[in-house]
Amino acid sequence: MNFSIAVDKSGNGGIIKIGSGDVSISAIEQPIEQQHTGKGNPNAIMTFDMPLNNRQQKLLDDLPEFDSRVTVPKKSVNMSDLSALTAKTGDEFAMFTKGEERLIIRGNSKKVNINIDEAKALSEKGYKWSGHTHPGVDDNCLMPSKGDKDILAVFDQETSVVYNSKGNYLTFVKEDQL
Amino acid sequence: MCMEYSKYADKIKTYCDNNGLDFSKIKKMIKGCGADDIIFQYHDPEKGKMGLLDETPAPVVLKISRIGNDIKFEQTEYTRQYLA
Repeated sequence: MNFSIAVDKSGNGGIIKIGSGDVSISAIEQPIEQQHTGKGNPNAIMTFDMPLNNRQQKLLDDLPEFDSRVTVPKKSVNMSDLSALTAKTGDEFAMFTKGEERLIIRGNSKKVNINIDEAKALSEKGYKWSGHTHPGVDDNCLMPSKGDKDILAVFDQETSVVYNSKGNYLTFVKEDQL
Repeated sequence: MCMEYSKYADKIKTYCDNNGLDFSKIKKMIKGCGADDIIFQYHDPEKGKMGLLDETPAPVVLKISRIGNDIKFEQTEYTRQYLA
């Protein structure tokens, strides 16, 4: 059984700003336990109901419901983490990146609360759409939706990604790339 | 890593020509790629206006899989409807 785990050993922590308060969160780590147990691995979460790792759980705690939003240091979260959150909750999550920070938005099982106008506003602020997740384990879950394409068109970038609950992903592009 | 569409453009065009499919339509499709797969999906310009609030999957009209040094095409129930 092969568990692939995405790791960013940046070493430094960061501060999350939520409303008027600050909460510290550690950078991505790979504790020894995770190397062997699959803790925090999306596929292991789906298959064996493994728990999230501490960092992912902390992130989820800050995203308690539909349309919860949090800004975190870029080094403290990646798309595999969102895949893990989707595996644990069955909800979609979207990630937008600007410089050294990332905006994470929790959706539900069918959508994320980002329409075209809000996407344009994020783009104008300098965000890139790093990607989002679709709950499910088969390849159909990787298929971008009609809305995904129109969202991508709003951003100054050529590609984005869709991850499913197993950590598999598909890259999709703007039109006329052929 | 992602399969590069441009690398297979000529083969895709040849396949379309040989099967009565419109290559110019494929160029406008949503394109997704994995390590060994490319998918083309139809995008209705009148839909998808809700952004991520509407995650209805776009219909897959053609799939391409890399097998060794060659590629394999797979039509779907939507191929003729959107590419003929």
